[in-house]
Amino acid sequence: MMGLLNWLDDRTGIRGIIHETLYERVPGGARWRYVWGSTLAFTFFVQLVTGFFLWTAYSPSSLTAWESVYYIQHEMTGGWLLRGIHHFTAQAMIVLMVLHVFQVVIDGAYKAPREINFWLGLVLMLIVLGLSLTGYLLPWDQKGYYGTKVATEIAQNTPLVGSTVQQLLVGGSDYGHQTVSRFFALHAGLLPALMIGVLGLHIALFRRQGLTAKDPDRKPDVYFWPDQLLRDVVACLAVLAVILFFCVRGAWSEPETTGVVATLGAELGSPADPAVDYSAARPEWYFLFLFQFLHYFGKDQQVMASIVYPSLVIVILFLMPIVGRWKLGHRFNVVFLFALLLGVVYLTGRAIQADYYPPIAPAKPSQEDGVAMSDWKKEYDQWEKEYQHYTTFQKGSKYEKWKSHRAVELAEQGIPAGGMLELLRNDPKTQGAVLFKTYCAGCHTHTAADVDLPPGHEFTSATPTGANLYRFGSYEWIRGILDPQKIVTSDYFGATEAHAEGEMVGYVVDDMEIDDADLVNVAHALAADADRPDREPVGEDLLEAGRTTIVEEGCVDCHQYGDEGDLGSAPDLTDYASRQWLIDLVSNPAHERFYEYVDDGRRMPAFHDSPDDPAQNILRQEDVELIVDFLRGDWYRSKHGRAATPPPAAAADAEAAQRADAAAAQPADDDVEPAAAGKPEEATTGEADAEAQ
Amino acid sequence: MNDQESTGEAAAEPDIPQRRNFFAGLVTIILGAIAGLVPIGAGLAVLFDPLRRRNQDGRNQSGGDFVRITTLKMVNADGLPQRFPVIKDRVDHFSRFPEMPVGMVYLRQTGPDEVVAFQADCPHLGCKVDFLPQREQFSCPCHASYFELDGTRIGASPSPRSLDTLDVEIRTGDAGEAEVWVRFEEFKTGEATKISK
Ligand code: FES
Repeated sequence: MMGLLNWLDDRTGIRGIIHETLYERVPGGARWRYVWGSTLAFTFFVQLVTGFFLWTAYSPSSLTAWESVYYIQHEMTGGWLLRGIHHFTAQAMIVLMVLHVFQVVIDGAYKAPREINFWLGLVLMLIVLGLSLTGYLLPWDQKGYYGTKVATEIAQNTPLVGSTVQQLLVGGSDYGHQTVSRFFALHAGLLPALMIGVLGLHIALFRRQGLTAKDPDRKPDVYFWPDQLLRDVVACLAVLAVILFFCVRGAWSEPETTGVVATLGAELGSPADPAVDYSAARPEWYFLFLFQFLHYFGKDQQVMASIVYPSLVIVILFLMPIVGRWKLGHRFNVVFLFALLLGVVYLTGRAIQADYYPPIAPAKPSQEDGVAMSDWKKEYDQWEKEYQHYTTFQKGSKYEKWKSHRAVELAEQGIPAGGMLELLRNDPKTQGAVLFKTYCAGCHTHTAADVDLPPGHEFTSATPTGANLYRFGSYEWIRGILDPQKIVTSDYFGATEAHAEGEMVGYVVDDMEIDDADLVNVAHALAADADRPDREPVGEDLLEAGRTTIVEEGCVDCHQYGDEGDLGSAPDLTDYASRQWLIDLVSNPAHERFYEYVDDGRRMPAFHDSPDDPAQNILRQEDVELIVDFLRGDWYRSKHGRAATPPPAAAADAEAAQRADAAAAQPADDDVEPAAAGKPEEATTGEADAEAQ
Repeated sequence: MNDQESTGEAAAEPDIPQRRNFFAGLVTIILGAIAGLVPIGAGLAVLFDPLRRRNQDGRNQSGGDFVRITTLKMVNADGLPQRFPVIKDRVDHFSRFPEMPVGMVYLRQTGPDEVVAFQADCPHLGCKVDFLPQREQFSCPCHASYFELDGTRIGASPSPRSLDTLDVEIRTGDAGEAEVWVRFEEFKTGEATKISK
């Protein structure tokens, strides 16, 4: 053994190296305050290790980046932990770096002969910031995409070189494949290599110049090994413990909503979609102050605020060793640093406050005072803007949260070659709602009185001109239109131009002579034909009775129903509200099966009435189907977590019982675990906490 | 490494003629530079490819042609703006996506046959602006830029210019329906004037 060591030492001088490494002098004895540098080196080591392993599973392109990160996070053993450690260690690094800089400046460790090492340290800091910036984009989720987009747009505003730099970074003028691959090359290639080089120099110089002892005569000197190293190792473990805590805290701070491990480790948003905006776009928390800073500058000051001032701060930091030669200069440096920190904390706090805490409306002045009144108006206007900012952010992040869960749910089926976006764009629960908003919500509402709809599923209007289509075709909806009190409300025909005073309303309100029990049966019979996925089965005898009522009690005087009645004076009741019926209606309501008898101007538009000439249609066939499936609640349901079939129906005879059932059946429509269905507020708060960190 | 060693040796043995060493050094540097520059040059060529491509195409892939957005009937008659997706083929380097949403526009009817179109991207740093019906204003959720109904920027907004208007054409489709066509373009952010990307 000894012989082998001698042989090795002979050729490499290994003993000397080890000795030099371990027997560094620590003047004044080992101290806890010397550990920060080591913890930083440790976090960098953690990033190299976890980064390498993430690399083995990551696939950088705009079609596979999110998908491979999803796979790491939700499918691979320990993936969430690996990703979590990498993510939170990056944040720890920033915090430790700030501590390190403060300590160095306060202790005056940047003064001669350590100037160069201080500069190397600042270079390291810039590299670390670069690593965070590039890393934020790599999961290719909405928040990384839009957060980074703002950063590269800022880069573009740099005088002279901006545009070129941006093009090179982004790999073209639009974000795409090469944006991912270029950011990845920086993040995993160039920047770490630079970091290793500069860190090596930094440590070598540090060793050469020795520790800046706080008070060297406090205690007798010791060697680095083992006294100081022990403290360093303990500190590193403590840092690791904090990181691990953040990795697992999701397990108890937030309800599980999807049945998969979605809340452990780092967050993964929904896949980046250039066509879907993300109104909660924010940079990582440690860049929030820069984001907030921009708010305070007018249009002519933007380049100053986003580029010049931040660069000035960095220049001042670099000048510190020179300024610090004078006694006053050192004081200035320390004060400057604290002022900077204060400013950063304030701006970060303001940004978080604006996003997470609703502003308080100013009280209206009590007496009729013109001045006070106009002041109040100004304040009120300001408040309204801030409130808008707050709700927009809250709504945006809530929707994004929901959508990211939905994406994970959908990904259970396997992701097609076109990527996750393809899956989301074909999901009625996501895309159907988006289409409904653009093409239907101008007239129709989609809102429930008794349940919380998922974010992005609620559409209200102060002035609707169409019916509320929430659960259209369900027993409850159909029963409602047959109710003289309800049919005249804006949930049904009350707000429509064509039907408010139409024959159906007249009939239901004045002439209908069907008793309640029969109406229940009629509604069940029609709902059975509509066959929504969330329909609760009822007995065949009730359905039969309902069908008989429809034929015998006068419905077929106006409507066609199977072989009975004729088309032309009212919509076809055959397979009413079924998938095909709805597709046909939305495609062409002017067909004789539907509203041919209504005047052109008062009928809803035909969205797909030229199947032979696709360019003529407002919507593509697929889009019509997405809207219809959205209305019918006909979408993929997760295999995890919740029962596939709704709870068995209670007796269907009493109206009251039906109402209660309807309420009980709602979560099925909501598609979330019952336990979580009632708690969207809590989920948001949990997220708020996570992001505030 | 070798360089260092040889200079080290040269210093140790001053009796070797200086001249020869000077030439050898020069040649070493030139050859070394060539050896190093070839791979770096090839690399830079690829790195700078997006710039060359941009100059060739003149404009980015999203600029240019008129795109059919919707029918005139779908645009609110009350003059309040509405958001519509812009659907066209999208090319992302080696991938081609037929008929994909590539952006958003706001359409606003200002007369019986008149529609104004705004690019939904904020001229400040490119976030998508919202329309606030209560205030009848556009607002940007990122750094609080506000715009009037007609797109004019309001007071203290960080946005350097008003919302970008896009050219609109009302065309008649084969079935006789009036359609809204928009020349969809993206513009540089942070500039006081509209400059195509
Ligand atoms: S991006 Fe719109 S205000 Fe900054």
